[in-house]
Amino acid sequence: MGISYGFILFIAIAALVISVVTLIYTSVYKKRINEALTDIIDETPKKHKPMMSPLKFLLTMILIMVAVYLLITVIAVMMLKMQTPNEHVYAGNTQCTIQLYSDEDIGNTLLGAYSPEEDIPGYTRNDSYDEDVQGRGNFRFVQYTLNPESERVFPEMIVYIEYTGKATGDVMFTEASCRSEMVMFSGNSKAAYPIDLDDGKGMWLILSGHNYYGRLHITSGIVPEDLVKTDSIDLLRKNMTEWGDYDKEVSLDQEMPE
Amino acid sequence: MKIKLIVSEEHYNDIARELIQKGFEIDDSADLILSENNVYARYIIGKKNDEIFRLKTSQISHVESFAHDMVAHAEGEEYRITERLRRLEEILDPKEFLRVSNSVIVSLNHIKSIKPSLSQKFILTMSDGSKVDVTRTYYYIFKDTLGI
Repeated sequence: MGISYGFILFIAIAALVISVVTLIYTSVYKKRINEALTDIIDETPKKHKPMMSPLKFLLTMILIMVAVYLLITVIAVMMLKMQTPNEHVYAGNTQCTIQLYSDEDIGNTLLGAYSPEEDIPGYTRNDSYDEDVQGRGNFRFVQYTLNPESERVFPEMIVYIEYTGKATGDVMFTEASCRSEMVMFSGNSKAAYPIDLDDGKGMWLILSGHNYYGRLHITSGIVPEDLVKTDSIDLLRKNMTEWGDYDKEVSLDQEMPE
Repeated sequence: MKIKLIVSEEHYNDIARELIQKGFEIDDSADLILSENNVYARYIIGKKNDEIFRLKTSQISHVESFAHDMVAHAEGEEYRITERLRRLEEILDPKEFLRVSNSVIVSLNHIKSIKPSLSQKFILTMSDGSKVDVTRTYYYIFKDTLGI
């Protein structure tokens, strides 16, 4: 879990505002205190409005900024809760985790009972094909999105990616990352997995955590088998691009279809 | 026996005469002080290069204490005085003189400018150009005196 960009931006703006306002206040304070001194020396006492010291003013400004931030956070969280029909949403949880499984591996999990052609209870299924991706063949993308009324203990999203092209003997390499962005904290997770196209052409992705405000990015590509055994992920990425890769980005904060 | 008189001009001669008749010697450098309520010292005895000066309190910009030495700053000159700061606080007019730290008393009439700092301090520039700090302990006393 990291600190969100929004939070860093707020801190920077708040620091700038506090500095400028405190500088202005200090100069006004200096002017007023010198006026008061002149009045005493001239023996023309006037009633001056009490002013707090610049240090007190600075601390007050910091407290005000903290209060404003907390207020914005509370309002944002309340708005999120109002937008999300599910009462189990815990907006503070920004952790997202990704697990990748081959067709073979998924058989050892609860999802082993389902095939990509079937609906999974509690999820909305969306099946799509992307044809002739960079001249290397078709990719199938099946997205299961957890229904808003379902219990949040289940994975947020399940994705099945299948290569439907003619390449054999090579490897389908899939890399996925998710980033969730909340008012104060952000979280991210990455996973990568190769499958031999001779053994199967599908890959399962399970996204866990309550990631309503973020993005899931998936890249799949076909790479020569020997590269997977010997070379680094950076080279695999390069080859995925050269051989033709398949990019898919899923927004996690969109309204799910009924 | 030597005695220092801090009384109004109106009463000074009568009291001085009485004391002299009773065998007292009137001396501004005496340790024994006889003072009248709400009457403050108009002079302080200061030494400079073995010379003794009678300093008008209105000429003094500030008095500093350095360990056992007391230095009064008047018209750009420094004079050694014998009074301790606590005694000076008693004999100098509180409407004019104000303690601003554990070691300095300043004359409000001789402050040229005040600079506030974020560290809860004031930096005073005196009429002779010297800088004096109002420390945190005396910050609010000084602020109240100025009525701000």
